[in-house]
Amino acid sequence: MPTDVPEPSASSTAPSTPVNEGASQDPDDPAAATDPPTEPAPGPGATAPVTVTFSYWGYDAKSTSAIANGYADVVDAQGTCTLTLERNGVTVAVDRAALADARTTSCGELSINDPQLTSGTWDAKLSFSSPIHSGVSTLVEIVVP
Amino acid sequence: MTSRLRSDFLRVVASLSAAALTLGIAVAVTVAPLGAPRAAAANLAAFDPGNLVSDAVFFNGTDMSEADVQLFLNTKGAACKPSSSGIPCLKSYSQATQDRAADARCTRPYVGAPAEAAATIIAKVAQACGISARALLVMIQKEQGLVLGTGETLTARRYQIAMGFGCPDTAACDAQYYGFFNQVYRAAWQFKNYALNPTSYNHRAGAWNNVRFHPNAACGSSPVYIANQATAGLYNYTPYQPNGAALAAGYGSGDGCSSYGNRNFYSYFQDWFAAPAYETVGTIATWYRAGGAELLGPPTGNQVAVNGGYQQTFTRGIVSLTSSGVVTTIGGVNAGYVGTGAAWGPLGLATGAERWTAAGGWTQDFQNGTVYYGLSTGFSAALGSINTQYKQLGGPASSVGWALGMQRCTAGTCYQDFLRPSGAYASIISSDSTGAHIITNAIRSRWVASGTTSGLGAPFADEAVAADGKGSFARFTNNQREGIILWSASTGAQAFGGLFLDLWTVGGGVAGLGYPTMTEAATADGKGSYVEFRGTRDAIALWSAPTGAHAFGGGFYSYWKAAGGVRGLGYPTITESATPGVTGSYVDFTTGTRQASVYWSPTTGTHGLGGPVRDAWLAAGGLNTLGFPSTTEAATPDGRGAFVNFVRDKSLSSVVWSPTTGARAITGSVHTLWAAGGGLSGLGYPTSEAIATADGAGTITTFNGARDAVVVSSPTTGTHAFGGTFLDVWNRSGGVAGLGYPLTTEAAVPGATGSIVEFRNGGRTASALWSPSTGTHALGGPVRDAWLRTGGVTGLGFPTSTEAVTVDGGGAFVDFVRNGRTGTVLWSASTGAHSVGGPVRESWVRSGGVTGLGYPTTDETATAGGTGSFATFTRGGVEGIVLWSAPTGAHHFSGRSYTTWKAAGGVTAIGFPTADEAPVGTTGATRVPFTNGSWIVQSAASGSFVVPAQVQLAWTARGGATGSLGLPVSVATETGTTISQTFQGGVVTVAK
Repeated sequence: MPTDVPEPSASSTAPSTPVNEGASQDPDDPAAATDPPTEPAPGPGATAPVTVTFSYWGYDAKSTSAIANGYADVVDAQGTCTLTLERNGVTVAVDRAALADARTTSCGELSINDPQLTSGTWDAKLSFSSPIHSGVSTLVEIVVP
Repeated sequence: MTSRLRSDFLRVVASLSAAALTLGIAVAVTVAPLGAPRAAAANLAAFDPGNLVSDAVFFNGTDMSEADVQLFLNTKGAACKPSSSGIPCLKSYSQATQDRAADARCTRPYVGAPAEAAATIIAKVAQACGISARALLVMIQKEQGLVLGTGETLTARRYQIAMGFGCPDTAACDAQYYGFFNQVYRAAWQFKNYALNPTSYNHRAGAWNNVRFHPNAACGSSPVYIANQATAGLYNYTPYQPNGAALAAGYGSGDGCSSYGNRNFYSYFQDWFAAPAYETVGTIATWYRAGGAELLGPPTGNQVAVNGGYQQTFTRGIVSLTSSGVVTTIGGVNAGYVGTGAAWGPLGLATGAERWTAAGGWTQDFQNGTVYYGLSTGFSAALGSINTQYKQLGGPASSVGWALGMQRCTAGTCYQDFLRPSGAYASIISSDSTGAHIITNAIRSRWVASGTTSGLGAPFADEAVAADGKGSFARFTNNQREGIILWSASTGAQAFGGLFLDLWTVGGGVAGLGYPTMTEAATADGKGSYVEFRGTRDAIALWSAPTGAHAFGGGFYSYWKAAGGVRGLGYPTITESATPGVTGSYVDFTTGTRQASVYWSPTTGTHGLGGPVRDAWLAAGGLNTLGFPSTTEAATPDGRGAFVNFVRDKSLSSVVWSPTTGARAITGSVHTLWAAGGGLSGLGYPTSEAIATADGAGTITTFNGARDAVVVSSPTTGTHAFGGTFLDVWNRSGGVAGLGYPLTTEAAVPGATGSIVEFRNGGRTASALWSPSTGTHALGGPVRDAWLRTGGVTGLGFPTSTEAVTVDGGGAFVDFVRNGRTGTVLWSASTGAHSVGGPVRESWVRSGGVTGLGYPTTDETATAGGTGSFATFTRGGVEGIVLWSAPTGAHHFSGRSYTTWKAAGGVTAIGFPTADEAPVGTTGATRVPFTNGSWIVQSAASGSFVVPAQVQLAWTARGGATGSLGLPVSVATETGTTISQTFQGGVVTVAK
């Protein structure tokens, strides 16, 4: 989160003007708040909701597999990502242990090569779950040729 | 831009399709219009979200050296000030770093160090992990603004999370990645990790990726064809692209869905590194056009005003512009100059052209110093007064040689090392108070070993030859303490200072104490310090807090060492000094509890004394009275005490100490006598000083050896000793008021078993005599005269009593004995003193002694014919006599009998009495028989007459005095052939 450092008074003629304010949103640094947290706090006994985003998705003809990748907006080393495809009441899914990164948790590329994966347009979703966090992406479509 | 994106998208899809990969991305969000007008900003018109930086640039880990990074930080942070709480600028930041082993990501090990500058950390991480230092600098700026930060924007927190690693946009940071080094290393490592695992993380190079605009997913996303791994990594690290508003804002803020991380990465990288739109202006531009471009290549920065001039960096060097004009720095000189911080470092701007010197290297002048680049010594810079002095000494071509490295400073004192042509080292040391001065070789080595500027400090003057020409020296000052290093071939270079230096200087320097053989060091007991010297003799200077610093040498030094040094005699309280008024010298010492002195004179040598012995010596007058010690304090033969002998003008004395007697001085004639008498084995330990006698006419010294004894001295009687029973007798007599002063020392009596002391009190002489059988008794005056007349110990022998009053109170007497023969000397005022002895005395005793015959009026005297002896007596006007001869023994008679005997012609007439005068019956008469047969018969009534032998026989035959004849009443008369004598009862006539 302490990522982006805008310069309110920036100008192209003074590219090296020091920033006046750090961009940190770290709770320990109350002075910085460029990108405020967007997730609500979890309720008692519940996992905290987390945004899950596809970074890419599609059908890999070479491997005859549906593939997708994405991430959760949290650093959580205990999470698992699940790619789920659904079409006409048929559901196929694959899990992969997620990898904690600098400021997100990566699903890594998930791949489904399943006989049930017949031609057509499948609804795909990416979900993330851990003992602490859980979330599901918006749906995307994968066309199986 | 939208169309470009779209066409790129289609082109890539086509390409991917050809590769049998069909990625259908359903774009559910609005793509921001990239072609919107932009605020003043970096070159954002060329911003391509799919190609933020090339792999070749991003994965070049050797794009900047440490010096390059430092110079960059110096330049960017030229105006930076630390925060009010002391958080430093990045250019000045340093921290301890830890080792990191090489692995598949960072393929070179990182070797940690106790305090590494941020620039060093950045350059080393770049090299270890193969990530561009430029990219790391840009990330440090875009994450926490530390490159350009200043003042209160600098916080410990920003350094703690400098790269934002482990800091998600929606939660707190992960503490395990805290710390500047940790952040930089971990981020670089992760970028390599992305590259090694291209499908394990969010974004994939060579493919279309859906990239969000903002942490708020509702802000949407757009497809981006990520052209390379570096860009994929940047999106993995920060998964947002700038929206149109962000791109339009330059470095400023866009709208609620704007994010800035990857925009700023692009902008800073372009502005700082990728788009060198640098130019030359003014004088530098003129120079540049006139050939500078060929020399240094294109500029790598714009001209910067600094130090009253300008500086501009170029591909192959730096240009400085001052009143001296345009000056270039190139090659090794320039590399070193950059390493010192270029114009922002201590050298300032270059002011003179680089020059080759015949000594083998280059020199170049700057505002504040000169660079010396020796072929064998490399880059060095000498500054300020050190440089001035170096030049005055001749610079690299002189015996000083080439400067090494940079000067080092502590608390205003700086020094620089030099490598001399000889291979030895020199240093020039400078401070405001001392100026700059040089020291070389061994003196420099000692200065370094002593702690350089923190030790001896800065020299007052250049190293110089010592006064005697046998060595060299340099004097130093550090915080008002002065020090010196002295070198000679035999002693090497040694250092000392403070009070030692004062002492050495006052003592004549090398002509006095000479050269130190060691560097000032702590003493063995840790209570002080010392320096040893070698001049005309070995010497030492010792200091302790209570005593100060003092020096001594030669015999004193040898003596002190042999006596145990600081643990023996302790520390000197004075420096070796001449003894006043007399040829000699001395040093006083103290252990803190015991004082000691060591004295030397040409005749006595070096000897020490301490404690009570020294106190007694001082109390007795010390040097002025007892003189120099001629022996060192030593244990007495019996081990009970200690003693020191002294000599002054050939007069000997001693101080003798024992625990029971204390320390006493023995001097003059007392000492002579004491020594002659065997000293400690004779009279023994003195128990007093020589104290005045009661009458003030002399002195008395008491001793305790095998017995108590005294030495009594007076000018008229001399000095004599006696003890034991003699001392008892003397004391009982009243001492000097009694027997008086001794005339002799107690001595054996010749020819007899006994001893004698003679005394005099005024005109009266006395003798005290001892023998085993008689004990000790004293006699004096006429009694002693009489004893002497009678042959003394060979006459009357030894007294058996001390002179005593006679029973009648009329005189005095002393009894004697010799070989069993008893004698007596009797004295009365009227008779004087006379001796009687043997049978004569026995006869006298039979008579009743002084109440019998009374007091002798003569000594025992030989009779006229030598056949006997006699003594006469008197009592109450009555004369008497005791007569002795061998045949008769001794018998006495007195009064009228004695008168009659004398009138009759004595021994020659009627011979010796054959019995004591005895009463005749109850007649009241006495009679004395004599050897010729005569009797003297007397009574008060009848008178006293000689009764011739023939008459006596006839008279006795008729009953004697108690017969009819009674007592004689006339002298005997001779008539013809008869002798007649009248008695009370008739006349006796007998034939002759």
